[in-house]
Amino acid sequence: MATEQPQGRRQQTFRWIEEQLPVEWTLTVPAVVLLLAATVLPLLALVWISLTDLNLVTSVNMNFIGLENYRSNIFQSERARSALLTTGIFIVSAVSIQLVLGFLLALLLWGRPQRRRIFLPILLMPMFVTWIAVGLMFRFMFQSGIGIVPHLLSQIGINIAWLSNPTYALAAIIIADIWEWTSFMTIMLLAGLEGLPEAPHEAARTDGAGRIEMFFDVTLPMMYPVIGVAVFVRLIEASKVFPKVLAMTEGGPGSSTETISYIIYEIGFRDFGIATAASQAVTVTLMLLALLYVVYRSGGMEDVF
Amino acid sequence: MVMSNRDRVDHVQTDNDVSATDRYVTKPSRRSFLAATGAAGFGGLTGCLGGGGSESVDEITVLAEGVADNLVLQEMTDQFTEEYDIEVTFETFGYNQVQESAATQVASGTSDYDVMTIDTYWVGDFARGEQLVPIGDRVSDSDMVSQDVYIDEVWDTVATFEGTNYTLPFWQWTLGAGYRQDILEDPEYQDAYEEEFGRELAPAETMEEYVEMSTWMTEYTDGEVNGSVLMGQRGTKANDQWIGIFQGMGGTFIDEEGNVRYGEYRDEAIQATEYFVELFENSAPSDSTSWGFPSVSEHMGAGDGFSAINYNIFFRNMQDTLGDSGQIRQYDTPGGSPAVGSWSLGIPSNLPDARIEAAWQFIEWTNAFENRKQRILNGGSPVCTDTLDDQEVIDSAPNLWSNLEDLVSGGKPISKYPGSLEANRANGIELSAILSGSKSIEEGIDDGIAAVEEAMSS
Repeated sequence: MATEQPQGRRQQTFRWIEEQLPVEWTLTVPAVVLLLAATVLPLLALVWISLTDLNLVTSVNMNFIGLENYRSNIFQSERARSALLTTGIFIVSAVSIQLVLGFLLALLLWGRPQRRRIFLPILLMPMFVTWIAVGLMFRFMFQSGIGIVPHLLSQIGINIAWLSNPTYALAAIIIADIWEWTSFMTIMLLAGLEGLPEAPHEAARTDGAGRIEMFFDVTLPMMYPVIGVAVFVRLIEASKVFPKVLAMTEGGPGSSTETISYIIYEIGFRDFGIATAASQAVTVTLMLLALLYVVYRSGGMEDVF
Repeated sequence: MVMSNRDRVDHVQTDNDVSATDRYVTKPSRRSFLAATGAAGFGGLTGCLGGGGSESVDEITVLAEGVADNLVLQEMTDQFTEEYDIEVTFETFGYNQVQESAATQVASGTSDYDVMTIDTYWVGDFARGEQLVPIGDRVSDSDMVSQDVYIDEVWDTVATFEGTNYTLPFWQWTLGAGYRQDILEDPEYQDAYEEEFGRELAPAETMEEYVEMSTWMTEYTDGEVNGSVLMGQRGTKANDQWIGIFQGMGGTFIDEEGNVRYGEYRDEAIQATEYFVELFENSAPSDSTSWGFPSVSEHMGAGDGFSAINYNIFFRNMQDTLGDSGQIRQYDTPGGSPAVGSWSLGIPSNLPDARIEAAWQFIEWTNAFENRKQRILNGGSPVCTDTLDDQEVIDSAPNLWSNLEDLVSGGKPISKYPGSLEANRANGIELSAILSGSKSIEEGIDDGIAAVEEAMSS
């Protein structure tokens, strides 16, 4: 009997907590705390470091310097501006080509289970390869002398030094990214296509619409939210392009393939300028959030998220 | 009956009539809680205090790049373990990973590594940040190592910073010119060259001669043999090579006090870059503007190159790959005055005393004469005059070691001052932009001067 009283008190306490805090809140607290510790604290540390003169190796003391890093290493830095432009070119080129190719492949597999069973596993293969391996693989494929691409092109009289030419080096990285991520677009869009209701298509068919007309007037508009989500996810991923640059060109020739992620890495870890790198990382994060917000608002995703 | 905590656990585990909650919730007594907390606190404190130097260390970890000298040393560490009863673990990575690991480990609470291989480029940064243990007194007190035996230029480039000795040189990477001796001595090539230029086919003494000879060789062999095999990879690779050419023409990049002198020698820089570009256009392999030293070694090793300006340690690799089908001999770079750089062994300052002591024992052992000699015989590279005077060492690779001391002594140490790596990389990026045609020579050099001055001023 002596143990019943504390148990009763405990139950009362639990009941009181349940009344004060909904159970779903109570249960999510540990996860939220962990999430905050793992994301918000490092983010705050990043912002703080970006306002100092911290050097990874030489700083015995860290001094607060306000927005100086933002002024001198982003807005006045030709290298940072050039890297942002290169990143932009990469994102627009890679994601738009992946979207078109992915959509075409999805249309080829739409409503054809047998074809899908054969081709989908093949299409998925590039996604199983680690990013750095993709970079190394394509470096060897594009390298003059030993690469299959220059070799095949030379057979038809086209001689391009892919990795030594500023334009072609970036193109090679974009091609590697397209190879790796088109299948992701295909899967996303195929899932969307398979989930489309049949009625609008039947109605259009009854009205005598042709296949092209039906695609542009019925299928495509209904696919906008799915396209929006796929592009949204790819934008986030493409903006972080780094392993392929590291493995294929190390940012060269010159600084022609330096992306913003790559210079953040190089400045932070190779030149020890961790505060400079932090200021660039914060700026890029804010820019990316702004871009994603625009995509979110214009992509009809309010209904999805 | 009063149950102890132990009894309570036993009781709960065997008694089926208790509730499921009680089965797993056994409260520790206040005393056991305090004991556990105290033990944890004590453990933490002793960890923080580093054991006060009385703790013995039976294992050390070395951070190293996966290149010949480190691998050779790694294979010899059983001897050290036998003598000192300390196990040695090597963690080897590529250059960039070694740099990242070193930088983050010295900045952490306690380094995971007891011994770090430190490149010339990092010494100033690490020393300025008080991240390395000064070892001058240990070196003076040691009867196994002595400053006097190291080649002066190697010692200057890596062992000291602002008068304090932080590391001991391990292996050097002075840039040299490697020629195919069998081609140089081939009567067919000799006669053809003499007929064309009226002088002997011999290692070039000036850049003008070198460009002329390399271009001729490429044309004479219809591109079968590249007159000069170079590495144009952006960053330090291209720059280390270019600095030798620039210095050979009388230029100074960054002086011994860490002052940027590059801008004062703009004309020499432009002239050196014109030669550099001409070599890539007329005699280097196509696409070598993106090559690093592995590609150069492969090309020379395959017998497809006549000469290479490269880190001297790789001439040995080239010779090994070439085998009996050719002979590579090391000479001065055209114009002399190549860049001298070196790796060294240092101890992170964020280690407890006992680990510092064990790390020093390993570094001292590594640099004892017999072990230095053995390392060279096993495939390493010399940094000391006494080993280069040793006949057994010379005989192991006469084409490489007989003139190494002259090559290194005639060079200029690469700057070790804070910001040097960034400065060298920045200029190397500009050189890469010039080679790829993105910038004119003048534009690239001017941008390079500005970038180097900025890097060294910050």
